[in-house]
Amino acid sequence: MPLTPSVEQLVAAARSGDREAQRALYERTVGWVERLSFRLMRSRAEAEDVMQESYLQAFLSLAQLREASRFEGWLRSVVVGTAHKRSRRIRLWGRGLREGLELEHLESKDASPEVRAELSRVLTAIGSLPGELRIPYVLRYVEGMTVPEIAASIDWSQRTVKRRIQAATERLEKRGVRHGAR
Amino acid sequence: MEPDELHEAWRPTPDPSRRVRVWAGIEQGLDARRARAWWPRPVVYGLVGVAATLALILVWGRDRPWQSIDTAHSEQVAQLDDGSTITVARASRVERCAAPGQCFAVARGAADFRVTAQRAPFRVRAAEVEVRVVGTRFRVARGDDDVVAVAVAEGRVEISRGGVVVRTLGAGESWHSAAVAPPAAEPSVAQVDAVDAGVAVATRDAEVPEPGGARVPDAGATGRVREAAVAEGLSADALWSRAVEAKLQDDLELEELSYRQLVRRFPRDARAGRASFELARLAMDVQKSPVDAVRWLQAALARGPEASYAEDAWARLARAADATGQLQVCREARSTYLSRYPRGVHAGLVREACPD
Repeated sequence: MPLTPSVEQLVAAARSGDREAQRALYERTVGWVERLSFRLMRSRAEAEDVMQESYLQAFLSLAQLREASRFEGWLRSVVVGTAHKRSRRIRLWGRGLREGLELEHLESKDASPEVRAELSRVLTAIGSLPGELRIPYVLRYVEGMTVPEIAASIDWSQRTVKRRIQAATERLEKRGVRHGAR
Repeated sequence: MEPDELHEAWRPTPDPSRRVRVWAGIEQGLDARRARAWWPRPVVYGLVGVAATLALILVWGRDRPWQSIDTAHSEQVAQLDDGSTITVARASRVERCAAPGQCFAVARGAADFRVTAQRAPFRVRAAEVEVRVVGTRFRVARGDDDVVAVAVAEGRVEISRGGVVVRTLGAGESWHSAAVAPPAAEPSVAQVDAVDAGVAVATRDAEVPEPGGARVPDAGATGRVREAAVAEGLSADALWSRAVEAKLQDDLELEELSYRQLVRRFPRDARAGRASFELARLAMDVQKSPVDAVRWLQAALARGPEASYAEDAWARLARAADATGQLQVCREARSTYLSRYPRGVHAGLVREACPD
């Protein structure tokens, strides 16, 4: 394998169980997977669980990925699906139902005090949303995913995605949080 | 704050050990899967084939239960697996029929039934008459003119004609079909709602009990009562839309009222099951009333045992029953969930409910 193998080469090797290739895919993608998991879940522990479950599921079902070059898009769908499933389970079992986000684990250290204060206010409002509204909202307005992409990842209809984003937007507006569309 | 700013600023606090920890967990999961899959597939398939063949031999080699008994000049006694006995009188015929639990039909003549207490209903049919019983002793006779007579020696039985319960008989009582007018043309569904001391109590489906019904506000108490009064005139579609809209608006009170009205006024509507499930969800998550949740969940599952919400409903039922100390209900829900959805999204947590 070349010193800097392509994603296609890594995926091909990872499919046959090559641990080094799996590790390389992990290293390449863990940055954005970590951010996405933390944005979708309410706590550090939940986010880490989503990261772990997503990679495990991805590596065990790599055979389902038709085009190796689309690995990252496919992995994103796996992460979103895992987060949604986990959020549903958490909601069912009543854990964290009315809790906010764990802000100390989310705020960027590099941001200015003003941005941090504003971020804290916005994240508190977003954290108050139930998972079924928070996840599509974050995917749309923070991650910049399209409605069809969100619908495909969560296995909802596009109409449901739109309605829930709309409901989330209205609730946030009541709390003084406004967003322009991306 | 603009989306791009939020996108840039909202990042987890850097923690190098986190990535190491997560990767260790992934490797552990991959190793565990590999350990489970070390047997070559042909060996696994071979073992499965042998097991399936043995199972087939056992099933086909077992004594097949009788399907009918015909008697001529003497009576015949049949012993059932559950300990019940059927004594088929002379010149009679009793057949097995297809229905949940034990079901027999008196095609001709008469038969005495001694039924041991059991969970599933024990039914005996003769012409259009059905006798349903849990633990008792009685006789069913069918004349040439299809007049059916039922006499109870012990316990109680419930008699229905054309699906409608017409009579409940106690010990020493008897009944025959010629004495009762045929049921009204409307095909009403009768169901067994409770079994108490061997008595099957039937209710018609028109009235639906409301768990936690007292929680609906008293008339005139709040502005929401006016909403409820208006909703009385709404169709099932309108109630459903209103409930969904209220849910999205986080108006929990209106959501609950709308679902309640839908269930109460349109119990046969296809959405009544889902509405019952949503009421259970509200009872659990908002009102913190697992007792009401158990009742609504049982109603939801009775209405839609295969509905899309069934997986969540069984899991919630296990949890709610666990919270209320209804261990039997909890264990049945847990067992049902795990047998139906062994890889279900809630399987891990359901296993933890009501430990033996």
